[in-house]
Amino acid sequence: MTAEEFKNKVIPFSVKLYPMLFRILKNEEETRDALQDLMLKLWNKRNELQQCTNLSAYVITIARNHSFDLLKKHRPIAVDQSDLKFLSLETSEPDAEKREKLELVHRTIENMPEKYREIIRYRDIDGFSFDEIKEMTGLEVPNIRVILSRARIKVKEEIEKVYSYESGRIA
Amino acid sequence: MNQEELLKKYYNGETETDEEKLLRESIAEENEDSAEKEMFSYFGAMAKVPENLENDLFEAVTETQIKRKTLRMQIYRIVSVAAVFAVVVSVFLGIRSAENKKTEREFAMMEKALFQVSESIQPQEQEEMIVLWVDDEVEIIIN
Repeated sequence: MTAEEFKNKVIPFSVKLYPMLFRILKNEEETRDALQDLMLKLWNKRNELQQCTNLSAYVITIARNHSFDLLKKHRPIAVDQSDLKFLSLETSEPDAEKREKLELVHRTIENMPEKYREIIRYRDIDGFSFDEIKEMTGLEVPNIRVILSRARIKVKEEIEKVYSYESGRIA
Repeated sequence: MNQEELLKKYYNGETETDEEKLLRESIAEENEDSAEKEMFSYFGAMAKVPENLENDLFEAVTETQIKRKTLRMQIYRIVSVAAVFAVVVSVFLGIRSAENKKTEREFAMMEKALFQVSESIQPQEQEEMIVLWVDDEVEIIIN
């Protein structure tokens, strides 16, 4: 695989992988370093990448193993109300009410069972395809769709419990 | 497909990536607040990546590659110089060793020749003696 091919086919994965790694590391600089290490790892395997029939699955597998290694090194931080400060949302959102709403969505997702939490993040934050989520979780696509549906409805319900909206859309 | 239908699909986990993109864009354009607006706003904020992330990563990967190449070239250069030095030293030692062997061979031949000469010029009565060298001034005789 040439440098140009690597740039066009592999580097774009970084946009999906950055938020995923950031959730583990909770620090921009460390996330960049980790992502760079991951890309170097992939670059060193570029000959294998060229022969690989499912590039996406290959990259996801390497990324998943890389994130497991990072998780081993970084003990998970206990979830509390101050969690959002790690996510840079406080500084980027000056409106207090909007910030509260963001926190509510964040907290609702944090409190979900692990599979629900993982799948809604992979899909709605990272933007992974269903096949990529299948690679990452080992679950079948129909099962992933069911879990995703429940997770989305749960978030909507939690928001509507706190805030009443006139539109009153029902899922 | 209108927004209501898309939302229904979304909550059923049936939307594809392009449909979700459309839905997010149409919800973001709405003036009134809704649960979806908060959700999508949160997802968008969490999905933000640093500017020029892709270019920076690509540059970092290729720069590291160049650095590694340079380091490898330096190692090759050092190894080449060491190899040339080793060849020169071994050739020098080889020549010296060959010269020593030649000298030893010549000395042995000369010794043998001298011995034969001494044997041929030695008188019968002096058989017990070995004459190594005889000239006008010097005689080397071993009893």
